[in-house]
Formats: sequence, structure tokens, C-alpha cells
Amino acid sequence: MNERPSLEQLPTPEAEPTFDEMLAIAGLRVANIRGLYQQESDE
Amino acid sequence: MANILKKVVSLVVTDKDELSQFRMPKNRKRPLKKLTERELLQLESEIGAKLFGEVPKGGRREFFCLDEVTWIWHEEWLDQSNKRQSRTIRYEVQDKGVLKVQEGARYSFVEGEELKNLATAATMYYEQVARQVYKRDPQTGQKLAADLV
Repeated sequence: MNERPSLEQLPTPEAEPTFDEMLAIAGLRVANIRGLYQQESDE
Repeated sequence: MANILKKVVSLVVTDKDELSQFRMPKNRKRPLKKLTERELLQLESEIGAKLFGEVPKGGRREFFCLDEVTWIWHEEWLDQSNKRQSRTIRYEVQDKGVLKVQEGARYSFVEGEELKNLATAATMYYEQVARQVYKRDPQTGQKLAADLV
């Protein structure tokens, strides 16, 4: 007999980021890609 | 700040394979002269300024990401008596929200339409700056094909 999965076993639905988080993500991504450029230029 | 950064990292980087896409390939020489951070910010700001539409005649606008938690908005315009006016706003991503810092020690947390527009502009800024300034795919971080030649 198949058991129904419990709530804990179900995958977590991916939540949409809030606007605060969107801004934070964009800032982090810009800093990251800028850092890559600087790192590459130093090599 | 640590909490929000941890959350953001988990949102940006989902697994180690994806993280490796952001690492630099070694021993690759860049043919162009290295730009200073100031020059990079200027290039980025030219893109950022256009995200909000036309700048009125005689005016000037700057919008750029200063560092991973700070965004700068600067606008200059001519008032009715043709006198130059300006306004600078610093947006700081904090644990409690996005703090708006204006001249005259005015502080407030950004809400509603302003927050929505700011977040949308920042996302577009990243996508356009990644492609136009750094010649990288904004989704993967990989170099664009044209820049690999």
C-alpha cells in the first residue's frame, strides 16, 4: 500500500523574491561581475 | 546584514556547479586596458541613467551600484529660473529593508512603488551592465561568445 507523503517530504515551493531581495540580489551580482573583471585584469 | 546576505547568496547560487560558473578562467589575457573602478562605475552609470527614461534638457542623471549593498541616484535639473538644482539619494540594503538616505540627514525605508521601481531597475541594470560593460551572460556569468574570440 502506498503511503501519502507527509508535508515534510514534499519539495519546498520556490518563493518569489521580495523587492528588497531583488535589490540585494542585483547588488551582489553586480559586485560579483565587477570583481571578476578586476580579478581578470590583475592576472 | 549577515542574514540577508546569506539569504541572497542562497538565492543567487543554488549549487556548487553554478558557483563554478562565476569563477575566472586562469591564464587568460584581456586585450583591453584595465579600467579603474571609477571608470567602470561611469560606464555602468551611463546604462543606469537610461533605465528611467529621457533626462530633461539641461539635466543630468546618474544611477549606479556603488557596492553590493549601496545604490546611488543623482539627478541635476534646471529650475524655472534656470538655476541648477540637484538631488542625491543613497539606497542601502539592510536587514530591516532598503534605507533611503537623502541630504539633510533624512532617512526613511523605501516602500510601495518606489521600492518596486528600484528593484526592477536594479535587476535591469545588472542584466544590461553584465552584457554591455563586462561582456558576460547575466544568467550564467559566462563570457559572451563574441568576447571569447
